[in-house]
Order: sequence, then C-alpha cells, then structure tokens
Amino acid sequence: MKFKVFTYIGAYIIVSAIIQLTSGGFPMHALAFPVNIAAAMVWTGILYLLHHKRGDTEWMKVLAGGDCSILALVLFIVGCLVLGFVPQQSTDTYSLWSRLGVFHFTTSWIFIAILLLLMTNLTLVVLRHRSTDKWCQYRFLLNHIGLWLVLFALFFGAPDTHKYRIMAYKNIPERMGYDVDAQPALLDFGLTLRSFHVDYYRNGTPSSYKAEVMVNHSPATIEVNTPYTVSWKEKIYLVGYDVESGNQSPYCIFESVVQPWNYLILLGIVGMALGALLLFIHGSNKHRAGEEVNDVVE
Amino acid sequence: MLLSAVGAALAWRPRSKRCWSTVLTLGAIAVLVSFVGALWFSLQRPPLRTMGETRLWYSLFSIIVGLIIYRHWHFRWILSFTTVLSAVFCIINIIHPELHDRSMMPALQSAWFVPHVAVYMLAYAIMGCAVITAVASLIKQQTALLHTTDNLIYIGVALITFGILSGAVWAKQAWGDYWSWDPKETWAAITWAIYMIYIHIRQTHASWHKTACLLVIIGFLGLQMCWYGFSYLSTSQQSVHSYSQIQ
Repeated sequence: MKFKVFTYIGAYIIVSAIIQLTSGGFPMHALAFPVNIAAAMVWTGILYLLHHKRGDTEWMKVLAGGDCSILALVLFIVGCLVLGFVPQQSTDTYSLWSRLGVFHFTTSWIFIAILLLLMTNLTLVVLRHRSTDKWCQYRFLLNHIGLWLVLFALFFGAPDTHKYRIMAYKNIPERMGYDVDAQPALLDFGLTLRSFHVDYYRNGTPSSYKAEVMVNHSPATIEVNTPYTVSWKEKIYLVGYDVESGNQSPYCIFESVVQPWNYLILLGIVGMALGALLLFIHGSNKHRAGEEVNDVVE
Repeated sequence: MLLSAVGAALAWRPRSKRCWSTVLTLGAIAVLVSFVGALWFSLQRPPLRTMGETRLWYSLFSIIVGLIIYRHWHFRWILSFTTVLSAVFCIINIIHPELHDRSMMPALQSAWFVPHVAVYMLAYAIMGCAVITAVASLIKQQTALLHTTDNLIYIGVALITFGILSGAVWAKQAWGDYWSWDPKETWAAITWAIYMIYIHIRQTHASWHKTACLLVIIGFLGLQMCWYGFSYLSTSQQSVHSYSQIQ
C-alpha cells in the first residue's frame, strides 16, 4: 500500500478532527432541503468534472484506487468501533473525547469525513470502472451503485428525516406531535384513537396489540410491523400504550416518520440485493496468474 | 452428533468407503432437521428467537455446509472440524437448557423474521467453515485452500448482505428507520466491512495471503460480537434487539 495514500487520507482525517474540536459537531440541520440537494449536486458534479479533467493526476488516482477503498473501509470500521464500544448521548461536554464527538459520533465531523471519503471513493471507482466480462460488470455496478445510493440517500437525506411522537387519547382528535427535542409541531393530519386491543400469551406477555384510529376522517388499523401510510413520504407507527391498563389503556403513543428520501434508499437496497445475488451465484469466479488452483492435497 | 462423527471418521477411509461418510452425515442432518421441525411444530412459532434456538440452527447449517464443501472440494478433514463446531453448540444447549415457550414479542411477528435470522445463521456457519479453511491455508501454505476460502467468503458475504438488507427493510416497517446505528446494527456493519476488506485485498493484493487469512479470523470474531458478544457491552442497553440477549 502506497505511503502517499496514508499521507493524504491521514491529513484529511486530522483536518476533520481539528474542525470538530474548534466548531463542535456537524450542523446536520443546516443541510436540510434544499441545501442538501444543492450540496449533493455540487459534490457529484465536482467529482465528475475532476474525473474527466484531472483523472490522470496522482491524487485522483489515489482517491479512486483500491488502496483508498481499503483504507476508507478500515476508517469506517474504526468509526463503527467507537459507536459499538462507547455509549452515545453522554452528558459529558468538557473532556477531550467529548469535544472530539465520540459521544455523538454519528454527527461528528470525523465520522462525516469518513463517510464522505467512502462515498467519494465509491463514486470515482464507479466512474473509472471498466470490465470486459458482462456479468462481472453487472455485479460490480449493482453492488457499488447500490451501496452508493444507500449511503448517499441516508447521508444527504438525514436532515430531511423527521419524527414526531403523538400522544392520542381515546376519541380526542390530536394534531400536535413532538420532535426528538420535545418541541411541539403541527401535524399534516388529524389523528383520533377510536379503540385499542391487546392480546396476551398465557405467561402474561403481549402477543399482539393494535389501535383502531381515524386519520383525516379515514378509518385505519395500526399495529406493530403494520404502519399506516399517510403519504409517499410519511407513515404512522404504533409505539406504545399504557401497559398497566392493557385493553383499557386510555391512550396510545404513535410516531409519525417523515422520510422523503425513502424510495432512493429502497432503490439502493434493491441494487445491493441484486448485486449480492450475483455474488452468491458467481462466487469469487477467478483464477489468478501464478497461483496453482489444482494443488488440493487431501 | 454420533452419526456426524462416524461420518467424519469414515471420510478418512479409502475412497470405496467414503460414500458412507456422506450417507451418515446426511443422516445426522435429517435427525437435526427433524428435531428443529418438531420444535417449530411444538412451539407454534419459528424456533429462532432465543440464543439456544439460534445455536441449534448454527449446528445444523455447519454440518450442511461441511458436507457441501466435502462433496465439492473433497477436503476429507472438513467434516471433522464441522462436526466439532456443530457438537460444541449442541453441547452448550445441553449444558444450558432453556425453557422454551410459545411467546414471541409483537415486533418479531413479521414475514422478515425467518429469512432474516435463517440467512444470518447460514452465513455464520459458512464463515465458520471459512475460518477452518483459512487457518488450514496458513498452516499448510496451500493457495488452493485460500481459493476455497474465497468462494466461501463470497457466498457468506452475499448472505450477510441479504441479512443486513432484510433487517433494514424490516426495521423500516417496524420502527420507521432503515438504519439507526443500534449496537447490533453497528456490529453487523463492522463485520460486513471486514469481509469487504478481505474481498478488496484479494482483488488488489493477491499475494497478501496471511493478511487475508487473518481478516477471515477477525471477521468471524466480528460475527460473534454481532450474534451475542454485543450484549456484554454497556452500549447494548441502548439496543432495541433486547430479545436476543444471552439466555
């Protein structure tokens, strides 16, 4: 692995750490629509132009190379290890670790830089890819573009994703929801809880529960794994009830999830699933020069 | 286990007697499939909820994958290792018996439950076999073994990808998010990325045999963290996957 790859990417991560230390976490809300669309277009446009105009320069080759892919994946693992080992949402705000964003790592500049590096490498790898084998070409493109779409939509779509908790009492129309910061917001729909039913196993644990509701004067049933679709970008989920009261629960807790980038993520998932299918069917599918493949010794 | 052990032992015999190793291993698979089927029928739910139940699937899939490798690549030693691997998990289940009940929390009652967990257990079994071939490759210094590892990893990665994607779609249906950096999801991403590095290293640095083998072992450790290890960490308190905690 070339030393230059380490140098460039090491410097890039250090810069992201300095930004994190000096300005705090990544301002995700500032990237809400339409800024995220503009940022996404500028970013992909720059990469496309750089690929065509400066594709032969050393640092572009580094960015689009296999070594960069490996290093980006290693950094991604390091970032995930922070999330895997360090409990998030700590109230500690003064330590160096806290200032580096390890307790809110998904919105840390360091983690954002890692994701951006991974996406940049993916973009350039796709743009540079050439293959003579048709199936290898399909497999490569489906896997890489699928992953790119998922990362792209999750990354740029995150600021447009909103969740509102709704506490609905029986037969009282509710139009207010509360976001993650407990700030009230007027909903796009009116929700009225008509009835609630819970079934139990013999040991007393709930086997299923469902709520009969009216959404904008339309009757609907909402239960776990069966949300109600309000529109192409919004669904309502049943998340809780008064466990003590059971069937007599006077209220239910619902959650409205607004995710306009939903279908782009789904498209990426379908692409990755098809790519994985080709990976399953064709396997490693290669015999390297200089390596003897028939030297099986039982 | 007895059938599987005798089958593994017969694999070392002369070629004329080797068909019995396949027959006996198939018998062991039939016994385990019958046991899982009977458990499924008696519980009236898929036996995939508790750690013990998933260990049972792992034992079954390990023997199946071992037999496929044995038949396809003719590695006589693989059946011995997969039998030991399978026996370890069966013995753990015997030493730590669980009280099986029919209850299944509402969030698990989804069409995604069986494919999501089953595909993961099959991937775990394949990656377990990949560790065996990778370690054998390190010891014997044979590139053919690493080619077998390649094939196992590609199939295993495809299954892990299906597992992650089905989990994401299910999570969207149940909780509203495809991905929420839940500790179990995070460990799944770590494991997937480790195997991605393996694939990229095999593509771009074919001579890095030791690194590749080491990655297979590290990836398998990641799978253990994703399966049950994460529940020992303090971060697991934030996990919505509490139903799969150690029992």
